[in-house]
Formats: sequence, C-alpha cells, structure tokens
Amino acid sequence: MDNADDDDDEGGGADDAKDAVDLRARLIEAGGASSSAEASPEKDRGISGIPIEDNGVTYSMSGPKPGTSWASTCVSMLRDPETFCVVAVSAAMGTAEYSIAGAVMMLLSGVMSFGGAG
Amino acid sequence: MEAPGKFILIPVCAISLTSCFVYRCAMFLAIRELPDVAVQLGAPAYLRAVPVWMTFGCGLGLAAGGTGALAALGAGAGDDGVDDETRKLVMAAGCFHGLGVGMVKVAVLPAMSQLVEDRHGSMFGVGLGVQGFATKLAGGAIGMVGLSFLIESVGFTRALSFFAAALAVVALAAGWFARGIKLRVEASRDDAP
Repeated sequence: MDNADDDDDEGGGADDAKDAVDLRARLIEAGGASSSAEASPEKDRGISGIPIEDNGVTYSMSGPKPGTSWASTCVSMLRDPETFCVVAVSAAMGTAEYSIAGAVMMLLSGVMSFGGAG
Repeated sequence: MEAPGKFILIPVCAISLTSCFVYRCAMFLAIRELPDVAVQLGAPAYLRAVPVWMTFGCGLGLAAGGTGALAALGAGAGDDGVDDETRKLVMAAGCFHGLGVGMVKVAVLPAMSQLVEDRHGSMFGVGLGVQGFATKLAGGAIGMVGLSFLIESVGFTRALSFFAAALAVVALAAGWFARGIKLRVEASRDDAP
C-alpha cells in the first residue's frame, strides 16, 4: 500500500509539474510574465525598475522604449528630415563658432594679417 | 646693457607684449560671448516668442553676416595691419556673430530633446550624443582644419567670404527644413494660476 501511495503521489506531482509548465508557456506566449519573473522580487517593478502600483498605474518618467538600440535610433534620427535638420544646424553652429574664434584671435594677436595667408 | 638687466628687461617686454595680445583676444572672446550668454539667460521667454525655424534661420544668418562683415573688413584693409578703427569693427562683427550662435544654441537642445521624445523612443542620450558629436566634428574638421587650409590656399578674406556664403546657404536651408518643428513650451509652476 505504501508503494501504491507513493506511486499516486508521484503521479500527481508529475501532473502538477506539467500543468505548471503549460501555464508558464501560456504566460510567456501571451507576454504577460514568466516563472522567473514571478519568483523574482522584481516582479512589481517596471522596465526601468520603477515600481508599478497594484491598480496598474505606472509612475514613471518617459524613458527609452524596450527594443530600441543605440544604432537603430541613430539611423532613425538621421532618416527623419527634421531631426537631421537639427543635427545639421548643430554642425553648422559648431563650424561657425570654432572657425571665427580661432581665425580672429590670430588676426588680433598680429600672427596673421587680412591679406596674408598665415 | 649688463647681463642682469637683460634678464629683467626682456621678460618684462615679452610679458607686456603678450598681455597686450592676450587682452585683445580676451576682449574679442568676451564681446562675442556676451550676446550668447544674454540669449541663453532669456531662453524661456525667447523660445516662447520666436519659432524654431526663425531661430535657426536668423541665428545662422547673423553668424553668416558677422563672418561676411569680417571678410569685408579684410577686403577694405588690404594687406595692412589691423588698426584701432578696424579692431573695433572686428569686435562689432564678433558681437553679431556671437548673437547668432547663441540664438541657435539656445533652441537646438529643446528641439532635439522633443523630437527624440516624440519620434525616437525617448533615447535622449543618443540624441545628445549625435548632436554633440556633429557640433564638435564639424567645428574641428571644417571650422578649424578646413578654414586653416582655406586660409593658406586663398587667403584670410576669401576664406571668410566662402564660409559666410556657405553659412548663408545653410541658414536658408535650416529655416526651410525646420518649419515643421514646434516647441512645446509648458507653463512653469510659477506661471500656473
């Protein structure tokens, strides 16, 4: 009898384990959670580690969206005409700022004259 | 002259001469930076009043005008040195140039951060990095190395004329392409009723 009880317990344990695996697979498929996340103390935290309240409201600043990388963001920024315009304006501003500062200081210090080439 | 006298007189003359040059350069930098700082101090009111496309266009246009004024001064002065009158005009051109650069500088960061937030997944670090990299790379490669090669090739006045023309073209293009950028200027806590 003892052996039979043991067999029943083992069979029930195997069913429970199978159910747990099925549940985990369904949760992962649905993108809801994973067993590791459930076991982790981080389960109540958002993507950036900011706590999520039980009522589902996330108190967070706007942070990077998941799945975006540095390179893909660079490419998308340079493809967007207005963002590219801002980058180009920054480049033009840098060119204007550095060129005149150096050239005029050489001029004022007498190293270079207006007509001369250094 | 006795040797100890030379040891005293030569450094004193060198320091005086250098300090005179340093004074002029520092004066130019100060006059160029003052409008820049003034615009940045008044940034909240300025950004509410002036749209981005106008800021980009007018700012780069003023910088182009300052550069062109320097070129015109060079054309007028010829091969002579810089006299006092010309030096004052150089300072004035630098003032306009600094005002233009300040106008652009004050609008670039908010525009970039809002574009990154709206369109590029809020990757603010990437936006800041790309923008800073573009500024320093263009400033170093084109503004310093490029201008030095150009000055050696065609002379100071022509090199500045070329730069002024290029900046004017970029100003027009920037004003055109930035016409769709609109800053969201939110009321601060102090302004809220």
